[in-house]
Amino acid sequence: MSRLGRRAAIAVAAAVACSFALAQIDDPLEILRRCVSARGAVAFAGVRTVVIFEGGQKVRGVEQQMHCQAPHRMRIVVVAPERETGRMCLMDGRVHWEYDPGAGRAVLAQMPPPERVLQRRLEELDRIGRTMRLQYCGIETIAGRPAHVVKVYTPQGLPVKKSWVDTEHWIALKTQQFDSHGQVRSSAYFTRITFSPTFTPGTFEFEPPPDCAVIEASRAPERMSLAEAEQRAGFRAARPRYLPAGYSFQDDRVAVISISGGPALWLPFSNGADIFSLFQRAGAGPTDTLRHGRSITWQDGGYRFTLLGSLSTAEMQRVKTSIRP
Amino acid sequence: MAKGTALQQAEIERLVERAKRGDQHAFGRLVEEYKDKIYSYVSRMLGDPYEAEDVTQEAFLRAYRSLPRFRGAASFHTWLYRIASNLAIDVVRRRRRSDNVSYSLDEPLETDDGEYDREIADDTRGPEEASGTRETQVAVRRAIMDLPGKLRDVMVLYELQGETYEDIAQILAVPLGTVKSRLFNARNQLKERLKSLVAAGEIEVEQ
Amino acid sequence: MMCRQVRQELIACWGSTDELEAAAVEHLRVCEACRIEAALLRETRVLLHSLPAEHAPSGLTKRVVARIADEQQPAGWWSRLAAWFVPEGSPAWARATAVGVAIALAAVGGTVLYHGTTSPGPDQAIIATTVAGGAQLAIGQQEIEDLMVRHQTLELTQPLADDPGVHLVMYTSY
Repeated sequence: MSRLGRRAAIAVAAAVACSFALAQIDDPLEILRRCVSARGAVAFAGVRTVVIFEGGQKVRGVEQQMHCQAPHRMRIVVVAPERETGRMCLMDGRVHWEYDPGAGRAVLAQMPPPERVLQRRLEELDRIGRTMRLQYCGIETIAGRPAHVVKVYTPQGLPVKKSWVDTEHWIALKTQQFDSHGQVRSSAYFTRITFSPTFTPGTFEFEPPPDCAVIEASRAPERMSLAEAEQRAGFRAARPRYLPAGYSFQDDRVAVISISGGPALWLPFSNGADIFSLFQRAGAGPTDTLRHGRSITWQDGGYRFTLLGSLSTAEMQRVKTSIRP
Repeated sequence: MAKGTALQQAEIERLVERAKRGDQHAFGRLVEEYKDKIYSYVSRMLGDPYEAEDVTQEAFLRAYRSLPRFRGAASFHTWLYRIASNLAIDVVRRRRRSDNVSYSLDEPLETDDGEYDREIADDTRGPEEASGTRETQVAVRRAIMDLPGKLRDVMVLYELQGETYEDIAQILAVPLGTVKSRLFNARNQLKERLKSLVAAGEIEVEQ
Repeated sequence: MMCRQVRQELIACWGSTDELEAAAVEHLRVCEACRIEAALLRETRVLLHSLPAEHAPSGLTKRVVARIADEQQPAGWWSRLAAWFVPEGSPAWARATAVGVAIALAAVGGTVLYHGTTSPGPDQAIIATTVAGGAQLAIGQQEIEDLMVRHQTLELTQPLADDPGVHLVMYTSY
C-alpha cells in the first residue's frame, strides 16, 4: 500500500472509531453524569456570555472569563459590560469567594468537601434520571466544538434544562435553564474555550482589597426531618399552600440555623432540577419587598419569612401569598 | 451662594483669588469644599465610581490651570460644574465609540429556541420588585443612566444636586426654557423607566 | 380638563396635587388612570430621592494638590537634583542612582517625621470612615447575604441548577 493509501486508511479508521465512540454515547443520563463529574476535573479557559431572562424577556447579560483547573479550582470574572467589570467568583475546593468591587464587598463561604458535593450531585442526578424525562437531541457546534445536546423535562413535559456537553471533555459548553412556565430563564454559552491552558500563578487566589468589607457566610447546617427541626426550633413551620408546577417540599432536608442569635427553620423545595428556600424565624426585624436576586422578606403572625431562589418574580409572589402562619 | 457648602461666599472668593495667584493650599481648600459635589455629579452622570474619580480629579486640575481666565461672571461652583460636565460628556462619547468595537455582544445568536439579540439588556425589573433596598437604589441609578445624556444632566443637576434652573442654564450653556423642558422630559422618561420597579400593589392612589 | 393636560401638570409637580388647579383636581377625582399616573410620579420622586449622598473617595484632595505641585515643578528638576550629588557630565546611571538614593532617604525621613508629628488629616479620617462604613452593612442586607450564600451552597448539590457564573449574574445586587 502506498504511503498515501496508508494515511487515507488510518484517517478512515480514525473517523469510524470516532463516530463509533460518539454513537456509543447517546444516553442523556450518562452524558449528564460525565458532565457533572467533569466540573472541577478538567482544566480550561474561556469566554462566555450569560443572559438572564424574566418572563421570556432579557433582563441582563454579561460576558465572563472563566478559568478552571483541576482539582476544583474555578475563577469567573465579569469582563463586560463595563459597569459590572470585575465582579468575580472564585473557588478553590475549600472556600468560595464572591467579590463585588462596585459595592466594595466580598462574601466568603466555606465549601463542603468537593468529593461529597460530587457524590451528592451524582446521587441527585440518578434520582433525576428516574423522575424526569431526559432526551438526547444529537450533536451541535458551540464555540467551534461538537457538543451532545441533552434536554430535561418535568414529567408534565415542561422543559427544565438544556445542556450542550463537549463530546471530548464533557464540559457544558452551553446551558439553558427554564422557569416553571417553561420559558428560558438563563442562557450561558461559551464563545471561546481552550482546554488544558497554562494558568498564570495566582489565578485561583483572591485577597480582598484593604477597604473591602468581607462577609463570612455561615457553615452548612445539619439536615433533618421537618418534625425534628420544628422540635429544635421550638415553633411550627408555615408551609406554602401553593408551589410552582413540579416542585415539592424536601421534608428530609430541613435545617435549623441561627439568624441574629435566634433559631430559624430552613425549608427547601425542589423540582428535581432547581431548588428554592424558605426561611422562617420568630420575632420582628427588617423586611424587604421582592427584589432582583430573587429574595423577599416579610413579616406575618409573629414570624419573619425569607423566600429565596431562582423562581420568577410572579411565582415568588404566589408562593409568598400562600404562606399563612 | 452655592448650596451645601460650608465656606461663606466671601471666603470662597478670597480662596479663588489666592489660588489664581498660584496658592496651592488655597486651591486645596477649594477642592476640599467642592469635591463631594463634583464627584457625586460626575458619578451620577457616568455611573462608574472609578471613572468618576478620574474625571473629578481632572476637572479640578483643569480648573486650576484655567483659573487665570476665571473672571467671576458665573459663580465658582457653576464654573466648576461646567468643566466637569464637559469632561463627563467626553467620557460618554469615548465610551460610545469604544462600545462599538470592544465586544460583540450585539451580534444576534441563533439557537433552536429562537434568536436572541445578544445586546446587553437594560436592567428593567419585574413589576413586583419594589422600593427601599439597596437594589432599588441601584435600579434607580440605572434608570438615570439610561436617560439620554442631555436629560440625565438636567435631572442630576436639578433633582439630585439641588441646583437652580438658572445655575443649570449657566452650567450647560442652554436657555432657561431648555432646562425646564429637558427636566419635564427627564421626569416623564424616568417615571416610565421606573414603572416596572414600583410594585403595582404598593402605589398609593389618592382618591 | 383633558387627561393630557392634567398629566403635563402632574409631571411639573411630581404628581403632587397640592399645587394643581381646581379643574385638574376635579379631573383626578373622576379619572383613575390619571390618579395612577400621579401616584407613579410621586413614587418615582420618592425612589429618586432615596438615593444616598455620594462622597468623593478619600485622598482626592491630596492627589489633586500633588498633581498640581508636580505640574508646577520647573523643568530639569531631575538634572538639578542630580547635580547636587554627582558632577555634571557623569554617566546617566550614576546620576539616576544618586537621585534614587536621595529620594529613598527623603522618603524614609519624611515618613518618620510624618508619623511622629502629624495627626490624621481630613483624608485619613475619611479613610477610616470608609473602612468602617464598608464593613457596616445594614443588618437586613447582611442577613440576606448570609441566607443567599447558604442557599447557593444547597444549590451546589443540585446537578441541574445554574452554575456559579450564572449565579453571579442572577443574584447580582446591581
